[in-house]
Amino acid sequence: MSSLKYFIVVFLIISYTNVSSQDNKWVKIEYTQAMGRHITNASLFFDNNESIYLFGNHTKIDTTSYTNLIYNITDDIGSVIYKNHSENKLLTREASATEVKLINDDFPNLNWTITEETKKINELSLTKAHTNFRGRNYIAWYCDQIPVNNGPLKMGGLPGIILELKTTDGFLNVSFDKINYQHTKPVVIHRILNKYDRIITQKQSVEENKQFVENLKAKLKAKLPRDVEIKINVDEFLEKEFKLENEKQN
Amino acid sequence: MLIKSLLILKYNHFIVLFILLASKYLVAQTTVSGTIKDENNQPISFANIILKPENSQSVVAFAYSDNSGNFLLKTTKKGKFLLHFTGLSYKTTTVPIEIIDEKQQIVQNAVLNYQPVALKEVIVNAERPITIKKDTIVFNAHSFAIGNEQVVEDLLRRIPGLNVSNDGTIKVGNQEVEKVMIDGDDFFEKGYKLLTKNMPAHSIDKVELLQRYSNNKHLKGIENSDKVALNLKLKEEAKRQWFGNFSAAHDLVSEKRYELKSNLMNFGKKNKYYFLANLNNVGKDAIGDINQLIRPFRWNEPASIGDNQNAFNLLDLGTYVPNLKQKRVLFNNAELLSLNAIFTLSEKVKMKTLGFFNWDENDFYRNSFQSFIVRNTSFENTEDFILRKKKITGFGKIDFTYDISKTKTIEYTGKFNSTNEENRSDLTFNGDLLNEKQKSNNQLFDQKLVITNKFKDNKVILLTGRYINEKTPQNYSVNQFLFSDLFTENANNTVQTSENKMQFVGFDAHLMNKKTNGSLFEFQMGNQYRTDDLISDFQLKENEAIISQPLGYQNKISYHVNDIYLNTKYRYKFKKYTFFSQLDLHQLYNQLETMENKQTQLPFFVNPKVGIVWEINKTNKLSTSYSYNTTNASILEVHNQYILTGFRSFSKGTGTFNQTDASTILLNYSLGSWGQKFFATAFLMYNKNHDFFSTNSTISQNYSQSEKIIIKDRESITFSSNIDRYFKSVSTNLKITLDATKSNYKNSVNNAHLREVKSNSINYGLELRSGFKGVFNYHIGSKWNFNEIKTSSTHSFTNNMSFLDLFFIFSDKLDIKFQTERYFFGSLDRNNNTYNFLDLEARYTVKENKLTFSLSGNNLFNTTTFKNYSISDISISKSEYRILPRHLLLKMEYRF
Repeated sequence: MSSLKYFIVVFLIISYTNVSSQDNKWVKIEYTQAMGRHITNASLFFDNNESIYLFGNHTKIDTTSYTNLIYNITDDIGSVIYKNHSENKLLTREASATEVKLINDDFPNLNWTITEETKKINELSLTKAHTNFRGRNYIAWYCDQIPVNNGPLKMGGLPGIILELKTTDGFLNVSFDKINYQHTKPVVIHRILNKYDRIITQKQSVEENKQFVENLKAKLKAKLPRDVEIKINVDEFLEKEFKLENEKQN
Repeated sequence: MLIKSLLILKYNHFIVLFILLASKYLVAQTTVSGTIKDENNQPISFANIILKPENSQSVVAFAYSDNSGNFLLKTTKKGKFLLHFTGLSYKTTTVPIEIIDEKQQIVQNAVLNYQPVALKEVIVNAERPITIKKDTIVFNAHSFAIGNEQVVEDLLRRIPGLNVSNDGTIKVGNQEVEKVMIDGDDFFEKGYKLLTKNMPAHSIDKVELLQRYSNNKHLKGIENSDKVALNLKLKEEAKRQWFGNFSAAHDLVSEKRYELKSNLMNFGKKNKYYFLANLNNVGKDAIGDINQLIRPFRWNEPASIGDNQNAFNLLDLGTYVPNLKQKRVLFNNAELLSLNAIFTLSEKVKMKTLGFFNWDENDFYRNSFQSFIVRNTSFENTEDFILRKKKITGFGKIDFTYDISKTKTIEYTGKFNSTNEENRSDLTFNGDLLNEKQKSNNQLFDQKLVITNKFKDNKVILLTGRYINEKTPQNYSVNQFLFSDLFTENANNTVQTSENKMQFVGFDAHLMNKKTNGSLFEFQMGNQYRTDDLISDFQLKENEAIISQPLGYQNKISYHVNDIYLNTKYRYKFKKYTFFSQLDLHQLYNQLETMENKQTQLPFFVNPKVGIVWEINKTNKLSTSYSYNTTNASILEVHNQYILTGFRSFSKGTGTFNQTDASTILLNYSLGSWGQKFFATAFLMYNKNHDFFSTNSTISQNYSQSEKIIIKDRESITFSSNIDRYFKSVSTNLKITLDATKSNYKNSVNNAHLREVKSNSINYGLELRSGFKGVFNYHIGSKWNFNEIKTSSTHSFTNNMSFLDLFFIFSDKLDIKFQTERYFFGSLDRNNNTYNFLDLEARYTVKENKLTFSLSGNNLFNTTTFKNYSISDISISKSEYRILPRHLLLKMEYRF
């Protein structure tokens, strides 16, 4: 009788630890992201299948003055990229002053070239890889000691988590600051997937952005006083080209 | 039968050929597939499978398992490999695999055992590309440089968050940087382009972006600052090298017009040198470029006591030309040489030296016709004025900074200036030729000591001491005698020697306390003592002999003003409102010593100021303020005998003390922000002078004498507004401006009663500017100016200035700009009331920031003279000025 009790207790303990460890299987990586003129803190929460990458919530460069251009308005969650491999979902969440929208995209087909170059940061060993995606050349450093197909923004598809990501033209530079384990699934995922004003495709989003930038550039150039001329370079969006992705990664 | 078999043969061949060809293009691949499961026989999805050679870490192929735990790897390689199975929370399993055949199909399953993540939390301590520390963001230059950067400007373009415009202006967001420092040292303040466009990029280790920047490092976080600055840190082993640029321009057409400029720099970690030379005769005032080194423009900053004190020039042979760009009317021949250095004597002590020499010759031409209409008197004067100015300036400044501790700093600044001016003029006045000779000297000796002590994190005290000694001796002689109506003597020339000696001693203690709720409390007290000695000798001469020194025209006066003051300032922010208030208390001691008597006065006054800023919402902002100011008379308003201030004008002060009071109300409203489609601002100011200095003048053909008098009540109201509206369909911005000022005051002329003078002016303008993406862009505008002065009669005029600019940007290397202006004067006669100018600027960049050629054409219509029409309460004048003739310069800029 007592041995049965003992057995039950042990079983409960084992199953409890099993269950709870499964709840805490999420990993959090904190990055510093510089994209164009905006430098922000970013976080990637992931497990084997799902992940969210939060960025664009609060820019680190504060230029509050009377003549500041209100350029980047977002809400408390900010911009997010949600990935779900089993459901084949890749969503981008963008919040502006007027609406929250979700942009539906296909997983990119990244043909990475993995080099033999490695470097060490703390006890982690990183390997360098490069590819080209939507008009830019990317260099990524991944760590196969964390064998997850993921990384900042829409990147992934390497035999380890991407800890550093940058574009060769200097537009994007993301580097990691901290990794910690044993997190639970973030509750904000539910809000991201369910609270939004409209959902559009990546193609529609590209068109809308193009219109916005053209108007803004023309407007700024036309407002200058006499004897002042400027040339505005368009590099406002990370993805410069867009082609329909037929093949899905994985 | 034969044909059929032939056809079948052909068909078979074709198939065989096809198969043979096809097999050639079929890739020979080995596939490795399988299923991964865990200990409980559950499939593991999204586990990692990597194929690496037996004794190498390079990745040959990799794949992920799908939802059902299946995976598929493909490779064309052969040999001995290791297949690694890894997954988050699983122990890695490695299986050796040998690929012998190119078309193998290997099946390899795996079972992975659960293993809790063994890796501890990782916090990176290595150097990051971007490090954020409160208000400072540090960028590691190496992480952002591509390798082809030549100059610092190229490197700064790669730093995220920095916006470098086409002409090199560096902005963070919409805010221009205050300065670009090298290891904390700065030469140029807002003239930083001289540095960023010339200094080589390879010696930069880090770029620091400093937000909420304060010029005095101890004031950071205490004073409300929204300034931004950059600090470039040099690599330790950066070899010191000389670098700089050189540009030469010469007139292509006829006249010998030229411009030579050179900058030479050498920046090391310990010592930094900067040399500058500028020689030109194209109307460019080179001192403008280094003015920020001499008198750094720090408006309203703490420890600026004495910045507003300077001696007076009693007589100035005026070379003022309204309305036109200076480069059109400045006939000059200037040479400027400047030497600057910063020495880091030790970790705590820094010394900065600045010196320059400037030789300048200016020619000035003016013809004018003045109609005086005053009550019952009216007459006309014609002047034909040619002036030659020769000016030599020598200036030196030395600056010592000693950091006593992390929170205490002592700074000493010493300035010395000596200017020698010799002016000669040929003046044909109403048909008579007279020559003026003026010798002017300015000697300045200025010392300042500032001790800053940040005794708490949010409290700072600044102690300032300042001593200024400035002299302006002048000698002025005219070889004709115009004052036979004033003096009975039989003179034929006049001489005046004058000098204003000024000494200033000031002490100031300023406490700043930043409260936790963000409000700022300031308390300031001090003592300022200024003494002016004014001497003027006016002599009537017959040839060389002095025949008279008339009474009433000699000054020997000492004016001492001592001001003990106390100021408190409070600035408080609550939700959308910001309140600010200020109270100034002054106890003055005035003493006036003349040859006859000595007067003293002890006035006390209180000057309050209050204001509110209300940010109604993100697009609407309203601010208003009220202030009451008392101003104590200066030496020019106090001396009691006449001084000659021009070849036919005398002026004198009241002979006694005076304080004038004024109340000012300001109202400011802005709608929208600069980047929005619609943006408007409106500004209203009402000013009432409760008493003010006016004049009692005697005007006659050959002379005018004005005496300062105190009058009560003068009012003025000014309104100004701007509207910007952007039209998307035509990519054009419309700008409308409107300014109106109405003021009235009183004065007296020719011993009549006080009369009222009403002055109104209205300016309105319209501008259209395009924002096209392509090669071409335009900017067109027109501005009208209406002026009216009413006394017993009314005079008015309407002028117009219109412009059209055309821009062509053919490529990154070539761009051309045309600028045309048209000036119209409503009250001049039809033949002389319109003036047109055309300028052209073409730039060709051979190599960006290395070699550039430009062609600059100025005044291509060759307009030789410019007439101007203006009115005052006693006269109407039409003046004609000579313009720099057409010149076409070919300029080459080279960086080494």
